[in-house]
Amino acid sequence: MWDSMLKYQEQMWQSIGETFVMVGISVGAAVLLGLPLGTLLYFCRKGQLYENRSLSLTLNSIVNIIRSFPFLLLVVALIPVTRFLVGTAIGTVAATVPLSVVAVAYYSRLVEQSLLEVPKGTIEAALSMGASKFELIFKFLYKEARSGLVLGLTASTISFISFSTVMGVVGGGGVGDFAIRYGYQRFETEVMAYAIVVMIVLVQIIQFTGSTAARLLDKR
Amino acid sequence: MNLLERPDKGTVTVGGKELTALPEKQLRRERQKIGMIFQHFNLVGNATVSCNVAIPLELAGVKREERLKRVAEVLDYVGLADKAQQYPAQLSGGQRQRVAIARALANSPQLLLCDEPTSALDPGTTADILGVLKDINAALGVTIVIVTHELDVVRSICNEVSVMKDGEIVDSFSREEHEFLPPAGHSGSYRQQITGKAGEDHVG
Repeated sequence: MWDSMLKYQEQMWQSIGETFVMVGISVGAAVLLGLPLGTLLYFCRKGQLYENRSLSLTLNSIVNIIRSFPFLLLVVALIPVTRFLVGTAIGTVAATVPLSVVAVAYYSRLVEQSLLEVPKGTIEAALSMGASKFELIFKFLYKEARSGLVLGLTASTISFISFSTVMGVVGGGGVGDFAIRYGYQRFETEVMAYAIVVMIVLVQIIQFTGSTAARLLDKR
Repeated sequence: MNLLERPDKGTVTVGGKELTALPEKQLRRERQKIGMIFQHFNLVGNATVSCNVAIPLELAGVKREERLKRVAEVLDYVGLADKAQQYPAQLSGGQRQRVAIARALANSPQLLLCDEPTSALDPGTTADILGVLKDINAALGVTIVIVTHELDVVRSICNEVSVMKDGEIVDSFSREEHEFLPPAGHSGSYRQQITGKAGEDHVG
């Protein structure tokens, strides 16, 4: 295994870089778009503050449809969109488009779930103090749900790493693609094992960081 | 009364302002002048005691320096100055309700709404919280509205009573018209409160 590690060191580093770009951008999309979307899902739900049946139904359908796509097919289906946004459907940057779409849908659900765990009384107290919508969201909801939000993002990030492994089909590269091309297709089992070990280490680090952060943030 | 629940009909007027007629933004400003405490305290668990008390001041746009001063003042008033940097989870029920009271008083309201303020507390702590409420009314001149099913609470600190059933007031009377019976008493041991007789301690 040491031999193959040395032999493919350069490719490995490049693959790790590609994985980071793909996962990093989709995590960014998850926070910037998935968090507001999840908050909207939460507020529109039956029995919540801004209950809105039609909006809730629309958003839920969209999120469910995206999540029910087998990911590989979503990548293919989104090719026109990717081409429109990035100019090309091939390469690492292009690969981030379908990955981000899934990321937003995926994380928004987890955000909705975390917010549902905030006691209704907290919202009541916020309103009784005259909090506006934004104050309610930032000073009460996100504050109380913060460890759940972090744990959700951790779980999401790990899923995104897994999703990113199939991005080889559109030339996205990444550790998974490296494992398939060099390890599987060229019958270098050691290289495949090497890539898998790298993924395992990556996931362990992310989970440990996320769990620790969530624990430190939770004072309830 | 602060329109967390909108009435099906009729109007709500507090301090001369008809809340039911106010648009959202003004209603929020009026709510900032009405303190409220709850049966389950409803503190922000991820904020320290002093941060909790500071929230209504932040919402009202009070400057940082003034905020810190006011937080220290009200925490001192409820006797929790030493717990300022702790989190609600580290406090007992009675202490949490005191924090909630401090939070409700932070904006110096004229009116304090109490939704079953002692229903989740044991008898000794109840007496303690009622003492604080009584003092707020007497010393600070804050009008207090209490919703409760605990008649001892009514007997110990209320002056005017309205009995409600199915959303309507079915009876009203005051301490002036009729003397209230003394409260069953929250002092003494549990044995004393239950049997009326003082017992000997089993443990020395």
